Amino acid sequence: MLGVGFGLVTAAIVALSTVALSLQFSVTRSINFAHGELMTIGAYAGYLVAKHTSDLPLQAIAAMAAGALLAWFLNWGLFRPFARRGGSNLVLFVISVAASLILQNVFQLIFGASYVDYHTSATRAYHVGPFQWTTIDIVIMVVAAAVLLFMHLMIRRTKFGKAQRAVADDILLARTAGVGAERIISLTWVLDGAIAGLAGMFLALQVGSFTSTLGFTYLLVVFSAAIVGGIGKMYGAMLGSLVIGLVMEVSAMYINPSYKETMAFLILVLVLLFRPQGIIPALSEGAVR
Amino acid sequence: MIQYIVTVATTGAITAIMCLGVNVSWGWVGQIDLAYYAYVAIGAYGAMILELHKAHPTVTTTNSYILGLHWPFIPAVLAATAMGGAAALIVGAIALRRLRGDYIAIITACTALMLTAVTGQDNQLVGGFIGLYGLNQPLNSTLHLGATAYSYFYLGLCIFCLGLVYVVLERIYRSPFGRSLRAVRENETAAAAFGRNLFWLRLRGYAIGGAVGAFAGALYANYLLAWNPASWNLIEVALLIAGVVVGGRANSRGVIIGSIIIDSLLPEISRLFPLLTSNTSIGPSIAAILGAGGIIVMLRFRPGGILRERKTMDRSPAPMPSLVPDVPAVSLAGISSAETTSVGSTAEGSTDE
Repeated sequence: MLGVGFGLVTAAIVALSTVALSLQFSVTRSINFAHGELMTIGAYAGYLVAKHTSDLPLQAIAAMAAGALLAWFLNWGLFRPFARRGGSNLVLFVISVAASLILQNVFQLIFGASYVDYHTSATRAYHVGPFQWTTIDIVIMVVAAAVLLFMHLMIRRTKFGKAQRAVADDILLARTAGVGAERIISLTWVLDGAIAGLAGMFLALQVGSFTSTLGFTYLLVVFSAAIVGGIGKMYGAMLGSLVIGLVMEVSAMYINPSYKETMAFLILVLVLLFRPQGIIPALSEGAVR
Repeated sequence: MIQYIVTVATTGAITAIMCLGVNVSWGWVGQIDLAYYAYVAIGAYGAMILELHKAHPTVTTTNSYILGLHWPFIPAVLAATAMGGAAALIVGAIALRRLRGDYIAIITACTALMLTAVTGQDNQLVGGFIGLYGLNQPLNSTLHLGATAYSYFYLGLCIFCLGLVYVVLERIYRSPFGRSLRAVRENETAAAAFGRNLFWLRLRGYAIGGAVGAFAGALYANYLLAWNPASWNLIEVALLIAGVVVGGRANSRGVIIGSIIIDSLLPEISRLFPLLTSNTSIGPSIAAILGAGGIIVMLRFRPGGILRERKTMDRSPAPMPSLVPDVPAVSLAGISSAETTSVGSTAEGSTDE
């Protein structure tokens, strides 16, 4: 049961990142291999702010702003120019791999190759039923739930969400109907970056110390969750994150914890082999497609 | 100074072989294989566990490795190459079955990470995180060369192997099989319509790439005389891809040039940067940034690379009178002359007029 408790925390972090990835994928249809770096920059931003103030919301705002800025820049400087010139998905993917490598090394140049410590000052352990959580664990889960609820409302209830769904469905048709597709895509990237940055900060806080490869090592876990849930489906992404998070932490209780990620990848491989459309393909009217 | 150049050249020749292997999957077949470095590692580990023998200082109470057959150099390298090819066949059989290009990349990345975890964590398989070490210099038990002479010899051997791989791959590239691969790359549907078995073609191409990678890995391990999980990293594949993209996708000569520029010269030049500042660790970072930047810049401004893929020509002695005058370019290989030029597939389309 302890494993399940940890699994829920991991799932919350993975869910934030995965939902962001899925949202971006559903609108732009290209896989962003540099997604992990959006998390890393969030972690570094939180870490830098934490040097001056222990105010957690301020750190979170910084993380979200940094992630959003980087995501906007990636779209503006890389993905949009290439997509406009008719770059295939594979070309865009290679570009994002290159971007990931560049960003990792830029972080390393700025912050050095060694681990940096990142904690919150006031933290204590709570026993909730069979689970055992620290303050930050609970904060992470509550905030993640709130963000996911916010995403749900935004996509379902706002004009922006409607426009997003239109672009995700058929970008040409959306344009014809007067949706500013470029602006919607741009804003989607910003949202993606903000949430991924927040997820990165939470991940760093939970682990306690991190390096420039924080997001990259988590990237494939996020991909696993996204694909297990059916990539591009928001509710699928949440479910996939839950599955991946629980499998990782519960398996760590029984086998060598270093195989945690391996378990996630194993599930991904199995899903890709037997259900490439994800575990809930029937949910075709899911949030953003 | 000469010794320094010999070191760089030996590593460069081995890296060029690696790039030629990447070129098979990315250049010929048009798929991203992020597990490529895993095949390099399989070749390296494979050669080492075959060449080392069991009663060796590497074996401790906690760390050991399988096999330890004490084979001679050449059969060990050949067997390691076969291991890489076989591993690629297995991974490819799973990844290529019905997955889109970017999914293939993700599943191969996961494979590579799983292999890193297993080789690092399992102390009895290939020595865990400590890895394998203590190999004797290959062939030197018969040659009895001094240290300097031996380094020249090994450089010569690596360059010879590079030439060998180049010639073999060129032959495959020009063979009907190579043509079919390109046909699949350019237009799957058309290739399938001409009766090509897409899966089997791709799988064979993938296995060839894996075997070339393993071959390079075996040479590399025999050069370093040690190998451990830290010797290879998933993201390093990006720098090999960079060599291919910059040099010229699907053009072996271009790939060798690109590999020299990106994977040999850039890292060496970047070694000079730390001299300018006090920070000593920035060299590799700068090389990686420039290398990956090379991918983006080349794909943006010259998607074909420095040396572009040669146009395929119809070499039949007398041009056949075409029954359909409007579409003379379609040959048996599915898609040929006119369309094979669009190397960067769709990315190039708009730039190249």
